[in-house]
Amino acid sequence: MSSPTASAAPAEPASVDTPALTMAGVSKIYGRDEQQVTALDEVDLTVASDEMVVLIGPSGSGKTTLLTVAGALLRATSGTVRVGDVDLGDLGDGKLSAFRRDRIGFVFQSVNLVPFLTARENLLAVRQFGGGRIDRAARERADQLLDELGLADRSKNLPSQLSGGQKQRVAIGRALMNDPDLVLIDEPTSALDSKLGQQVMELLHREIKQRGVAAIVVTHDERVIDFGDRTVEIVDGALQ
Amino acid sequence: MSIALKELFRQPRRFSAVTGAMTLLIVLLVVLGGFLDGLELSQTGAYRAHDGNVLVFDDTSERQLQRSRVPTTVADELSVQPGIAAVGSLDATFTVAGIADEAAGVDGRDELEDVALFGYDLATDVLPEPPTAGEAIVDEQLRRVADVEVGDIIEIGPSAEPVTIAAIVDDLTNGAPTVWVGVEEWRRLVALGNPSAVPPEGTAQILVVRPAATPAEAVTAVDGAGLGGVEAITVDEAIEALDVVQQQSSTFQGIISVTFIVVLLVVALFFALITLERVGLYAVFKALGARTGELLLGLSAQAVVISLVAIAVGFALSALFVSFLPPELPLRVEPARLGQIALGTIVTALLGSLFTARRILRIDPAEAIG
Ligand SMILES: Nc1ncnc2c1ncn2[C@@H]1O[C@H](COP(=O)(O)OP(=O)(O)O)[C@@H](O)[C@H]1O
Ligand SMILES: [Mg+2]
Repeated sequence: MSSPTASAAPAEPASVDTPALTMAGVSKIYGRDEQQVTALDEVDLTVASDEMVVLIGPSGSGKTTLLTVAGALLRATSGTVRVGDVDLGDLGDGKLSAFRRDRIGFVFQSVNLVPFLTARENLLAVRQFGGGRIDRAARERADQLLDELGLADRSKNLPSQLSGGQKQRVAIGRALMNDPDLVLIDEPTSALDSKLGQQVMELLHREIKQRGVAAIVVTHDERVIDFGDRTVEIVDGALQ
Repeated sequence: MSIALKELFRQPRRFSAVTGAMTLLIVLLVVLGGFLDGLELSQTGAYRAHDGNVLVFDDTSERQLQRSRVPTTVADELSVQPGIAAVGSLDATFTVAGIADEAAGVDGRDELEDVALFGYDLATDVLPEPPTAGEAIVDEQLRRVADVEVGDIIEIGPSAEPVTIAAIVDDLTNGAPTVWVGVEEWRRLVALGNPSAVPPEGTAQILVVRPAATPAEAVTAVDGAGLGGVEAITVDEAIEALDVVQQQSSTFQGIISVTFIVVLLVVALFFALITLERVGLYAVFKALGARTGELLLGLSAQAVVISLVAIAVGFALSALFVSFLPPELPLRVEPARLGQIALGTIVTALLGSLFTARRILRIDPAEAIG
């Protein structure tokens, strides 16, 4: 990072005006014939390059599906999805996985840390995928993130030696490790008690705002809604 | 270090069962291979003593030494051919040798050993010039089983004809420990015990041709000499023609192949199970940008490390096991065989680890979320 100022690192020039995410008329239909489920129904959503959107909705309303499609994990059945200036429909499967690694950060609902890697190695691992190398810059970034997330003294611990909140913080660090343009976070507080959930959300908000990154945070926890710049509600696959 | 190897070294217990199974299979492979080599070597020592030479059989003998009869006039004709440095006779018969043992007392004869008695003309890399009449050269195997040394007297054949040991050469076991004498001495000794076993006057069982340059050129020279009724072949070809070697070799090769298939199945099954356990983890890896190829590479790296550990431990256990086997067993551990087992194990394990390729390819990164 080349920012001369200590905090607010500027986003890349190209993405200042371009929205981080543009979904236009996006539908996602699971299954076929009688078993069809319309998980997303003609969704239009634009997330500005430094915006933090909170997505709420009842269980089964399509929140996770929206993240999956926005994050290039699943292709939309119809409609267009643009991340920055890239139309995901133009990318082949191979390019898609490299795109995910470089441009998108995920925090999965079930945390999903690699059980046999330490906190620090869990962050570094995302650098290795797709044939990347762990250089000094990567190590410095991992250490800086762990420090910011209050995990400096936990960096050598395995996930089994961390509390639920600490694991969630490692997952956030992992999502930010490759300096993504868009961070997608699925129910970050669902496994935490409310005080811990509050803390994790504060941290998440700070990290994301500090970096000027766009984010979608899925939740059905009423108390975390305030952290977003904007709240969007989804019911039966359609945005309200 | 790669993520896969970190997993291997940090959770070694997950891999201990498959490593243990592979180790035992490697011990089995070493022992089987040892018997294969031991049996083959112990049937062919006299042939291998003639490595680099060409053997001339009677063409109706099916390349069997004791069935062959070649006139010695052929030797005279061949010796003047270009490409041929020297020609000599080689005769063989199975008999017994009594070990004269003064210390054993009264009859001075307490032990009979089966031996293969050879009459020869030409020195080779292993055999010195034939000894004079009344003397014999014996091999290391006879020294081991009969505890004889240079200067001792052994008694050849049913008539117990005494000969003095002039030299001891490397183990040339050829179905039995070997005793080597000059051709004339051989005819004399065989005639005393079993006259019908002596080839007619003026014939040898086979001829040994020492090439001027390469064995191939010498074979061509013999073929080009226009002599009917004989066939020149290399030592390796003569060994291949031995029924006993062929049968043992194909039996053991069969068992060894089956053992490798078991290794393949064990490794494939292990990685299939471990992949099943890791579907969630692999989905996360894929969601984070890992390609299927990388994941497979990780599995392959694990398979190779497991193989290396199993090979090291397996070889050590084999050495221990072999040291407890009775020395009479024809088991020979050859470095080339060990190399083949090591390489075969690594390749087999790699193949086994790649059986999961399809499964891993099908893992959907979308499974990681939600
Ligand atoms: N892989 C799938 N196959 C079929 N149906 C699915 C799949 N994933 C989700 N669904 C269905 O799509 C709808 C939306 O699911 P999801 O996006 O997980 O909702 P949420 O995250 O809001 O609970 C639900 O009806 C769910 O059953
Ligand atoms: Mg969900």
